[in-house]
Amino acid sequence: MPREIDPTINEKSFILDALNQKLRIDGRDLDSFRELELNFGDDYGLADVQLGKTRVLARVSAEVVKPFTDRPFDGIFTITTELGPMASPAFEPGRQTEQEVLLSRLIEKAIRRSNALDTESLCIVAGQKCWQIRADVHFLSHDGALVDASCIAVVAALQHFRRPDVSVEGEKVTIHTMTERIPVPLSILHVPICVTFSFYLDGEVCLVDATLQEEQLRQGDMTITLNKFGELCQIAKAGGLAINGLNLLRCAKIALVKVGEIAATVQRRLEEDAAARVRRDNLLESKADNERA
Amino acid sequence: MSLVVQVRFPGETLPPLEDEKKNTTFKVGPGLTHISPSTLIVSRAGELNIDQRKHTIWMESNSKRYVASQNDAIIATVLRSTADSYICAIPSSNSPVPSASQAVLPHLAFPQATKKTRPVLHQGSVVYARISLANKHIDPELECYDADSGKSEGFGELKGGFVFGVSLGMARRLLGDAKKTRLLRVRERKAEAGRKGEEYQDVGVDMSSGREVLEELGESLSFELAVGRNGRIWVHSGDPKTTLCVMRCIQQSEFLTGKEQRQLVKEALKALG
Amino acid sequence: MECVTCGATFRGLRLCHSNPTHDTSHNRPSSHLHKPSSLPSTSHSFLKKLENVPLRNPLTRRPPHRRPSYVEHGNTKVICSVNGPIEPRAASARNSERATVTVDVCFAAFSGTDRKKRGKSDKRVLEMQSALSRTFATTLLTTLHPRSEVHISLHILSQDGSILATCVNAATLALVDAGVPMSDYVTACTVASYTNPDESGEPLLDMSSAEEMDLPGITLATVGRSDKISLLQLETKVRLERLEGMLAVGIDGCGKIRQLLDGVIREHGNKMARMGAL
Repeated sequence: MPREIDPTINEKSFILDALNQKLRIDGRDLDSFRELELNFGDDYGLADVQLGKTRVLARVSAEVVKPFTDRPFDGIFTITTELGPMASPAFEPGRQTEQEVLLSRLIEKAIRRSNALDTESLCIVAGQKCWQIRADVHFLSHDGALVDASCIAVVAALQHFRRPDVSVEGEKVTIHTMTERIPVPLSILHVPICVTFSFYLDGEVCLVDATLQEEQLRQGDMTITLNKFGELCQIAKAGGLAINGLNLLRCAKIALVKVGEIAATVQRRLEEDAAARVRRDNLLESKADNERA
Repeated sequence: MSLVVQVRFPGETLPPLEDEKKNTTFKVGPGLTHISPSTLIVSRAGELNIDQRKHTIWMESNSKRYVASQNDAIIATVLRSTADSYICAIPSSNSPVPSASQAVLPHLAFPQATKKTRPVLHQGSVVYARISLANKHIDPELECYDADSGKSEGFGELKGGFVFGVSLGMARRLLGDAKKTRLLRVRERKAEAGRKGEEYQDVGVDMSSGREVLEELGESLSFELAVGRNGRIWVHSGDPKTTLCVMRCIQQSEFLTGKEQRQLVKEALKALG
Repeated sequence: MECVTCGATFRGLRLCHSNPTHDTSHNRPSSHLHKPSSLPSTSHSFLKKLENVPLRNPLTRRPPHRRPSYVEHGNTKVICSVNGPIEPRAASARNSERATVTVDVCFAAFSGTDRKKRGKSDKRVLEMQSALSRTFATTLLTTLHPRSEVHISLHILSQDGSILATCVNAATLALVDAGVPMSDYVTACTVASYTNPDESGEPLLDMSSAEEMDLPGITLATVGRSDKISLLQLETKVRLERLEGMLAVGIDGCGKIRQLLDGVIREHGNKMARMGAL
């Protein structure tokens, strides 16, 4: 199996030299993200995020299941991730690596544990039927910042998703098809966005949205998850270079700005997609009218 | 104007070669499979090139994975050292994640190297080397000197600078291969024009060597550059800004014509100040 | 491998309770050690029980890496033994430039309120292990022992909040005792953010599990006397403005733990020296 080779001595010293002069290889500022491209599928709940060469696809789907016995009033929300050889030849299929466990835990903590999705609203009949919302994250290409990209993909897909409408009469539950009744959006309580910082040169330089090459060279990293209301959802700094508290708080402030920008982009793209959808539906309707006439 | 670029796809059978003298033998290059007695089948999509003078025929196509072939100058990375050789990786341009094939660089394959005086390379060093042996059954072998003269001829360890990847086609173009195919095409057209009794008129596209970016950069910046056929490029200059500028210009110029390349470089230089 | 470690840890534990010459102050009633868990309270007793479990006879030729450390934060009890630097057990742990740090965390089935065995592949355990190994990999002078492994084995005997922090402190203690070269102590504690209805309130130091359930809090570890944070974890939602106060209290708390650890280590070292075991 081809393995990922470490950066060469030349690349290492050059990148660090350049960082010392506040230069990044791809010409970005130290605290700027790569261009974020967000696209939605024809179906509801498919989000395709491109962050430079990193590309992540998230698919949200729903099904009706029996709730867990210890939480009869809650729906179920699961996020699954798998790092396959499509993202990078260094990933083996089927084997859970440490990297993958950390990644899925991070996304889980950022989105699921912070209650971004209101699971109580997914309950249909207490203790008997509820919606299970599944978010499948696929990594299509790996050039760093997998956590940031997949978090954006999942929250965008959740906001984009519509589940079929349900009506309950006594014990009888009817699930209406998408054409019968307008499908309903999920109840999203807040939109968490992850920002990963990478530390270099003993904490003097701190980068946002590092590429794979930069990730390979970093001395430490920290992922901060925030929503645009300034609520911290999660911080993960698991070892690595120790940095002082003031630097850390500065990072948190930068993160807040970035989260605002990203959340705005996601919101804008969602609105654009909704508008495009309305246009398309109108077009379809007028066509159908013509046929009838 | 007839379409000179002949794009062929795998499985196509080539028409019999038009040959002035019947009994010349053609050398069949990459991308073509020969089935005796005289059928040629395309095995890789690309552009068909026929050189009537040198009697060679091959497919030209772009890719990202490098397959070692003899006499290619490549940029390799040292992985580790064994008793008598360095084990190197030949990274392909396949960015962002490089996949690598391994090669052997004997300790003595350097100019004037003896057991006692040999260059010491560490893990992660970058070398510019020539493939001295390529065989599909064993790992390729490298050497850092010219076997005839015993001199380095520019090969050896590359110190400092930065290494980045481009596509294999781009690397070949920077090494001047495009010039060959361009001359070939110009010749073909001249012959065609001659047959029709017209005078050959040069069309601008033909004059692009595909490496205007380097010519233009070289005029105003000072830097060192090594291009490996495995799609790796090494750039070195005193100033990281210059190095980055060169790197970006080369990477961005892949799909630009000669004119656009010059324009790109001019703008980049202006930004550099 | 594990049986050996387990054996060592449990011997150490028995010793701690049965040895009559053992400092009785360690056997204080647990009310002393426990933090008040009732809310609201803004100040907390900050009492820890930290020790290097003494050996019955330090003169016996026991390999130095077999001395476990034992740490209590209230009712959270962790025992830790360090093995290394040793020959790497797995080929993947071999690095020609530095020693690799591997961590095994084992939750005893009886440690929680309900009897539950946590598997090795539990994502939370794997996350803890990776956080611990990355924390110590940067603090230990790993370049001094290339091509070797430092193996830290942690057993959680009782859970009552601040588990990760307790593990960090236990591991530091054991690493110092095992003589693994390190740049400084790594000490950790947890801080909760508590708000009164009138929006006032101070951060609480050292969370118990009841507090962990209800309050947002951070786990942080600092290196030595500096305020440099090597590990920081937050898993529940909290206002960004609260972070600063929590960090300040946490860094202070880590400094206090460092003093405590330092005291225990010095005492242990002096005792060892007196017995001629050095």
